[in-house]
Amino acid sequence: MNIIILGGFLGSGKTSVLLQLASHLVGNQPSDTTRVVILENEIGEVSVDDSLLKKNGYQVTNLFSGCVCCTMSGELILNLHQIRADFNPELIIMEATGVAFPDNIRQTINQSLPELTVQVTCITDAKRWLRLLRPMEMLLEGQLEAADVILINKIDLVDDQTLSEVETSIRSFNDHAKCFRISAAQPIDPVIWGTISNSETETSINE
Amino acid sequence: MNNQQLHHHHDKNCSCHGDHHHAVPAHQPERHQQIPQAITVKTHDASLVGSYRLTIESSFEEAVTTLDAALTKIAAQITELGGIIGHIKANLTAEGQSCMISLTEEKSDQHYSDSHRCQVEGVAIVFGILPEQLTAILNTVLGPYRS
Repeated sequence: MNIIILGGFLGSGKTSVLLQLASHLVGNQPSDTTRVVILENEIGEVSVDDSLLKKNGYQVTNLFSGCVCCTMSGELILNLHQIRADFNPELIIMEATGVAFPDNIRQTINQSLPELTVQVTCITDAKRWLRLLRPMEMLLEGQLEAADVILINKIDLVDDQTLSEVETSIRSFNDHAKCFRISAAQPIDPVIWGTISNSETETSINE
Repeated sequence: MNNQQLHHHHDKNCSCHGDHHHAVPAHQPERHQQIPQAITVKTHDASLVGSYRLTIESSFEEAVTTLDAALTKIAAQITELGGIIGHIKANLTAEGQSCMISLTEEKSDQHYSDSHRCQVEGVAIVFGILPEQLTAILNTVLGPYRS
């Protein structure tokens, strides 16, 4: 069982990316829980995104009213154990809250379940990046700096010069991650999914 | 109140796994099994998290329009106060129909049904204003639709 954490600021497009990634991995069998289970974390007292995911047929475990990178880290581990006991899927796709530090989540999992491979993909909003950078710099940097893959989303909403500025800024926080430009409103290049899923996961999923 | 004032210890290196955050009232670990009140506002680090559960007594089409206008109004008032909108979103359901409305700036989606009673569940996650200000905005704009 491997885990992909989808992180990134509020409204960056995490749920849209998640839906495409899950669809790529399981095709027309979204309810096949031996392959993919979605773990959704929402910070509000009511859950909004999980109904959209369930409507698409996926098995969704929801942790809401808190953030698993801090206040709900214990619940995260309990739920991972439960998912393994109930479904033992090849892959868990976990959508973090928009205020979470994904690497904190990875460290929590690594401490309690060191046998699991955890990969962090962060989604950024090209349209709002420069506007959010100053007031949200600490959070944005913390979300990005340990990401394995960075997806710069909503590139269809900015011009080339702005996109170049955004990418340079993002790279100043993390220059080692693999970085892709996407628009989650359109079909995403399957090559990117192969990068997000590590080779071991990709092989087993496609078998 | 600016973001610097709102933000405190929680950063990338935060090890608040049940530690200092729990000593701060704003970071009490909420129980996700609980049924929320109609409109609540809590803080999480620098963010304010407003949650709302409402009923709109109208057709689904009218409810989508009403809710879209309400969320847009909330966004505008937060911006006027110098706040930053993280994400404002709501799920509107009625007799098998559903519609998610999501705003970081402006965005809406619409579906239709013949229902005359629509349920709304949503959140407003913002930065840079006071909890009292967000509470007042949500109560003013969404108060008429409390469950």
